[in-house]
Amino acid sequence: MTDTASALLAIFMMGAIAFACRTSGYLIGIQFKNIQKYRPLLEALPGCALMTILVPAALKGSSLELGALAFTLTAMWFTNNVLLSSIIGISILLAGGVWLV
Amino acid sequence: MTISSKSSFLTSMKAGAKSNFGFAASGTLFAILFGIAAASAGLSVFQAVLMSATFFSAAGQFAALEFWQTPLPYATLAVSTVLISSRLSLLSIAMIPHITERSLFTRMAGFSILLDPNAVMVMNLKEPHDPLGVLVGGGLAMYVTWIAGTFIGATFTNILTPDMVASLQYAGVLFIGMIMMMVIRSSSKNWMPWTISGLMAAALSFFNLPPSAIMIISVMAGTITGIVKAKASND
Repeated sequence: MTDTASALLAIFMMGAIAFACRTSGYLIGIQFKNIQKYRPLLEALPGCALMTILVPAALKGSSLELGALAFTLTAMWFTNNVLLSSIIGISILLAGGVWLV
Repeated sequence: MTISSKSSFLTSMKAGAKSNFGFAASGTLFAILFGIAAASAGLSVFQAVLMSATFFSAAGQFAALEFWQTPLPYATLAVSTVLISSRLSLLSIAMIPHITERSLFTRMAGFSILLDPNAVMVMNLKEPHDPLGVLVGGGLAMYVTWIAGTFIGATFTNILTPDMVASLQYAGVLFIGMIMMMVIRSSSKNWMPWTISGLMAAALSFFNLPPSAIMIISVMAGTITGIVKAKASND
């Protein structure tokens, strides 16, 4: 467990960055009208960032965790239902962690 | 149309909160699971709730948990937050033609709870409401349920057995995966940059590189691919 001061510093840092992102587009956009040309870049960035976190984290998972991920993503793809997909994934993790150990 | 001919700020806030109730309710589930995942990752109830109150972004918060370790990798957390929150910059750009009234300070305060659902509400506004009021009302509905859900989830973890808590540590990865699915569904045209980023991250994860370096190199590879693809389709 991280110490309290470090954790609080990290939390406030992330909060400040998120606030800067929420306001910067508007503030820069009202000054420079041609910011719209960077729109494709801004659209691609979050997906790229999520993939760079998801793929290495997924590769570190056990076979049970990878199975839970596969079932969750399959359920999400076919149903687009967050609740159902979450229940499936969490159930597999819990069942595997508690009853199969 | 001047502000006086529109609904008052308070009435617009109420309308925004009412319209966004569905998203707020479904977001509660995410919040509860974030609370569980945060507590499993070692955050206290207070820290988990504080993160939800200051960050207020499901994707960014679940991603942060993936890097939550001792000592905390500040650079990696910062890079991850900037890259994932860049979508919020795009949303705030989209607000420029809609939110033009009131002081800049008031507008910025309202933007602190900007997310996709309330931004879309403002963009599709048909009734004569105050757009900033709708943005704030819709955002507050999600903000309150997000914090409450985080509290419930993080508190609930205390009654789970250690085995259950350990097995839920992977829950964050499941939710990043689901969020990625939502991103793909909303804008599938960017599949090539995302795939390149994912493949690059997979390859680099076999080397002993810091997570921030893996992230920056992989995202750069993906965005360069996107720029080249966009130029090629323009030519």
